[in-house]
Amino acid sequence: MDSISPSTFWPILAPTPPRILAAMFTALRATTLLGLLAAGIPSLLSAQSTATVALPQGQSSAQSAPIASQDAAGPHTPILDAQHRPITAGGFVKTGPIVFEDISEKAGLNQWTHKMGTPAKNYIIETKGSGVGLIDFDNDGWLDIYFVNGSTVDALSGKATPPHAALFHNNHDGTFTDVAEKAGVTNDRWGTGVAIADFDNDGWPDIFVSNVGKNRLYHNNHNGTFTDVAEKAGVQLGNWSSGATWGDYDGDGRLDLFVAGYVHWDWNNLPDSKGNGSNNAFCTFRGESVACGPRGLKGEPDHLFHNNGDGTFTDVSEKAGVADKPGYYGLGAVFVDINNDGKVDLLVGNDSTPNYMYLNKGDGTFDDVSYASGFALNEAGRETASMGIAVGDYQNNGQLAIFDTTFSDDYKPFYRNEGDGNLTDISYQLGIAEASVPFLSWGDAFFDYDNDGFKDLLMSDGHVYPEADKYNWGTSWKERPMLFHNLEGKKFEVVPAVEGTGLADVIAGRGMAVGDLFNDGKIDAVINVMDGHPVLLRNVNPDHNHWLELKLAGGPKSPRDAVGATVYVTADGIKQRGDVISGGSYLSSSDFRPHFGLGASTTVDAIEVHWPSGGVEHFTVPGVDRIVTLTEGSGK
Amino acid sequence: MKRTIFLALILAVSCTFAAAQKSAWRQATDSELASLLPARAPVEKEHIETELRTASGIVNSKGHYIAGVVLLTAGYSADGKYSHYLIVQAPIKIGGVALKPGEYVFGWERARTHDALSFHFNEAATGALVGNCEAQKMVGTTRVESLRIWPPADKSIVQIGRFSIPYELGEE
Repeated sequence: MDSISPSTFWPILAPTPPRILAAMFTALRATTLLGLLAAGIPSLLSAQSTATVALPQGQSSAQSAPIASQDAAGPHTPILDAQHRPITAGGFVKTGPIVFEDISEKAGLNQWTHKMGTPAKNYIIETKGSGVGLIDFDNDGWLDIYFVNGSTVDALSGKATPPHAALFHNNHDGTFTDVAEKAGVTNDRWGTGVAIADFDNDGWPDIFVSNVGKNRLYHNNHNGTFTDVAEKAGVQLGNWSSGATWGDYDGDGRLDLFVAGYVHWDWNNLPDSKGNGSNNAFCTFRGESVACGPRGLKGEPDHLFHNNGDGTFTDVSEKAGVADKPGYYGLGAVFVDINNDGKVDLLVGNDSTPNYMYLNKGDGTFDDVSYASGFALNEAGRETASMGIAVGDYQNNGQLAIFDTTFSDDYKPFYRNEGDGNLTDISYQLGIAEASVPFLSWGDAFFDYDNDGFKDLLMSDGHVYPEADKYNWGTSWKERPMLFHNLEGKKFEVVPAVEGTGLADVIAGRGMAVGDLFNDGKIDAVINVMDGHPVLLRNVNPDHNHWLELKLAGGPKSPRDAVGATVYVTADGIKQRGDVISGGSYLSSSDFRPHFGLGASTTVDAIEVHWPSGGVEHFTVPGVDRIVTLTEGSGK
Repeated sequence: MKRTIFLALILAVSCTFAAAQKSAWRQATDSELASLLPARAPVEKEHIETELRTASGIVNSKGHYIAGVVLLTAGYSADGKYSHYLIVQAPIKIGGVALKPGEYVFGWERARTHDALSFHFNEAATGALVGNCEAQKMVGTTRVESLRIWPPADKSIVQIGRFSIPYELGEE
């Protein structure tokens, strides 16, 4: 390992150490205190007082570990709780509102275990984890869960049984049964992401699974089984595919498929800290040797596949202008109408490289407005290690904001949409940034957990480096998820992690999907856990607010599952927006049914659906607290 | 009357000089920046990787550059650390901080109000502090930049993200 001289370790201390150190302490104390007060976590106040500054440790030699040395010099002082745990794995409170109950074991999900590489995580490929998709595969009206599997080198070389994916059928009684083998969706490859959609408009949802290796496209046979048609469809690819999203970008009524590429992986030239297969400068973190990359590794391009309507797809990435020519490290991806022109646009979160925002021009091509929109970088001009993308109308003004999960030692940008896809990063102003800094975050989603009419924000967390538990970095391999409560579109506050509840689950979280798994109007969350059992967080928030969920069915000119539709629901003077999205978060796919919390309102004044076909219809519903199907062509 | 004419002449000459000075500078090209800026910047006792796609600079008719590039600190936020490397070949004041020809690094911390970044400029070779200044949020929605040193004919600012610091070019 390279090491660092003390002066470089904390370079800005060199000129006038006492004054700057004092200033940094002051700033840290102030910001931390403000953040914790905003979070409303009393026990964290004591944590604040016990926060320790990681003073530079003298190390021998001084060459070429710039990344780690600079990183360790930052003012992101480890924040420990009263038990001296990093705040990412502690900071619990004894009492408070219970939002989520972890019912994973009771639900039967503990029968399946995710596995990816070895616990040492010597290579980046072992660290990224996998996604989760919510799918009602048997059309019984209840969401089932598809967890993507990882794999091992031994499994790939035939020396061990490959880990398999899980398809948990919802038994309607709070329990689930893994039917992956019977359904023929075990994947058995090095799995990464999942995107659910009815790509052939037959009324049954299908499953796209991205892999390191050949991807799967599981076509639903309408009888509880699936057939992998990826080869015939032409969407197999063959290297490291990551986030996938479905969207009808050309308005022909058929869903097209975008697949982000991460790193071009070479099993015969594994990047390690000895400098093999990678620039050694990118194999350290805070002066310690860790898995190399993604910086220093060759990027894998992105792909857009046009749906030909006959079970085949054509790669149109170049023509459409979304081929990722620089080879950025793509992870989260989502088709959604970000500029409200009725056409789905495309967002791609890139790890350690600028993000992409592509606006749909309506002629089969996209405009790359990544920098012009502000999405490429955070507010301070830094490229972020983007993992997951969440989109949602948090202000109820009809504009979709974007939330981007990133690495530890960095805040998580929150981009307010000013209209026409112009974004402003207001994470600090909203009260999200400071609390999010120690966490390395992945899956994310906007949803209204307490049905108060404002979309809240949840993210799953966990580090990529097991070494996080060995050093005083202020973060941890396993981390708790974070829930931010939306204060009427003006601020967000951290919801305290009450001991024994789902928010106090310390897990190696990765992919996350949200949806109403029990059809009770409360949005639940499922998390695919690296090398562990999956987690099902059942929403048990003690509110009595009303709600409405809409299952959309597209007509002949729209995708049948209505992916790409936008819905506006007006109740009690508030007009909310919901979108039907396949993909997003981190390598995951959530409930298609737009959900609306209605607060105390017992009536809905208006429902306006903007179908992917371009048609706009108005609907009425007989009441609230129910799931209603709206079919294109049956409205006014 | 003579006095007025004299003042007008002085003003005209000054304006012409300023305009000439401004027009003497242009945006440096990608290839110029690639040949000027190091792939690994010498910072104190280290050589820190740079991200050349973020390079930006201006060059004058004498072939003197003011150019910078993002340092790959991999800490992602780089809050409070050196975030950029800067080569100065003609005197310049950035946010009031006078920089003589030389090599510098700068970094920032977020101001408590969150609407400004507090920058510190240091000598690259020694880490010695040269000065501090503040970057303000730019008005309106603008393109986000890793670093952009705008040519003076457009606007005399250094842009980082959506923050900017005004600069003044000195006489050579």
